[in-house]
Amino acid sequence: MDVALIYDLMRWEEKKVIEAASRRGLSIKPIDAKSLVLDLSSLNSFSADVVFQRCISYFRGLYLTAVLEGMGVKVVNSFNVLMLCGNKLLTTLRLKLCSIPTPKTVVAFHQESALKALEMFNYYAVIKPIFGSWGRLISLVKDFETAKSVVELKSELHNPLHEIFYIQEFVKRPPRDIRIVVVGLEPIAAEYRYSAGFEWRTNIARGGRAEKCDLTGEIEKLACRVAEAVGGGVLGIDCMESDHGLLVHEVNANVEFKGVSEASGIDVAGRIVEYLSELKR
Amino acid sequence: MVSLGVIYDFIRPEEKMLINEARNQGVEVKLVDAKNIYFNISNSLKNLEDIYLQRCVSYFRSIHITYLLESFKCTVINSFNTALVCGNKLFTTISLLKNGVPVPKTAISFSKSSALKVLDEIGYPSILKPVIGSWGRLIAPLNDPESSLAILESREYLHPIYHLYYIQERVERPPRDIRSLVVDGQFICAIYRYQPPLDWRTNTARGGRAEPCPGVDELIDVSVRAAEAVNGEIVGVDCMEGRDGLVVHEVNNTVEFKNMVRVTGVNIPSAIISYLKRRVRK
Repeated sequence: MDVALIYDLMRWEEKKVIEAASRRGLSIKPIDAKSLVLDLSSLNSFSADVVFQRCISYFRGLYLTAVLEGMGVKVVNSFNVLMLCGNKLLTTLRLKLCSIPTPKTVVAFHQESALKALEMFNYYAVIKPIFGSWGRLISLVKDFETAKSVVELKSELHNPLHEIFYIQEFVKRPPRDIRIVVVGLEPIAAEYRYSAGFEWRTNIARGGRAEKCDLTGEIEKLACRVAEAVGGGVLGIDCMESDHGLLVHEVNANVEFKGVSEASGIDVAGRIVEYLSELKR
Repeated sequence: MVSLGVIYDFIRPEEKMLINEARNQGVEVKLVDAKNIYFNISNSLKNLEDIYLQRCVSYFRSIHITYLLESFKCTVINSFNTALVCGNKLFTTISLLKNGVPVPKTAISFSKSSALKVLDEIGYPSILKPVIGSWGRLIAPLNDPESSLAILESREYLHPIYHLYYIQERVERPPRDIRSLVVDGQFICAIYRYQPPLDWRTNTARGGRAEPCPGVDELIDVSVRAAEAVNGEIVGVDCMEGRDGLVVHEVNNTVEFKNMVRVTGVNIPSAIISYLKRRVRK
């Protein structure tokens, strides 16, 4: 039984997982997704039984996963988890159906109705693309004319997904959010992510700073419920500290865990390797 | 009898009015649909008209055809240079400045981060305008650092022409601007363009309301000088009533004038066609 790690760009995280595996006497074969050719007419051969899928390109990873699962390979994360977590609208919907607290979110499907949706927030709201990472194109607007401009701009991007308007309240919170890393169904570490300078987004990719966050009972319980709701795997759950408790705004199915490893001192890579070995059996 | 080529890609009410007027004045009109023509430029061009009126809606189509016809010694109104300058807000502002025509305070930068630095310097609210484009399209308010960041970031996903950050002060003005028409250095008439209830842009394409505007000395002076600054023969000059007087923010080389005709009653097509006839004789 073989384990492979499929990547398109080798980050700190992928290197650590490979190192942690070799320390445990487990060999993980790195495979560059960009070099793969998969034959859909004979779905019966792949060189690994378990794949840790880590492509930065979401769609590459998603469709690759679909094929591998078709070949009977066990992929972390699964196609269903990726599909759900790669889409903020579907994630919020699932969380809501599982009674997990989320920020107030409104969806519209046209420029004009998007403006009506924004009116519900008095034009002070966050407009998020339903796909994408690192806070890309997430827009905080504060007044009608800016809201109108941003909505107009989305239509100029010539991507129909940008015309699904996912609009969220700007949650009153400290200048940070909390990321919890889950492996399997178990929360293993957490970090605060502080936003940098006049940037309001907390993404580490935008200069955000990681600090240790204790896995309190409240955080652990919430993370377990979220992991259960989306189907488990290696996940990063992002939540905010509102006046009414924690609100979950995102679940990452391709979580970067350098910051949380360093801030918490927890060997996240090692825990992932143990999880992959269990799946192998 | 003069033969006038009218180059168009869409027939708007303006083109219809111009064609009718030309025929009334005994001018032979050759309609040239820019979408249907091609030029084999390795051969010399034949059957050219005495003079062309360039009315293409598409900016790029328009300047390329004008350039080509001018290269083959045709007279095109407006000229390539005028079209090039008027079609680009940065070039326009520079031409106006060099000729002493008052303009809003303007800055240009070439990256998101330098755009944010400019904003630190000139302050909020400001306005971000694409250097190319009409009808107020993609003109965006920069009201605070966070939403400005969102708007500047979105621009990075658009065509490189939108990575030029032309940033202008938000002029304190009444809820309107002024469009005046200048033909052959003469002020013809002007309208106020009131911004519609749910927009701050005054473009009539966005539902802005037109009303007649009296041709006072300051307006005539500024409009004529703006037209001169871009060597415009038939142009629409857009200006705002700032605290210290009029400031010109745009000069249109393919001016839409149906609302001007409607509210001022001035026979603009007649003024234009009469000028084109005079121009041929020059």
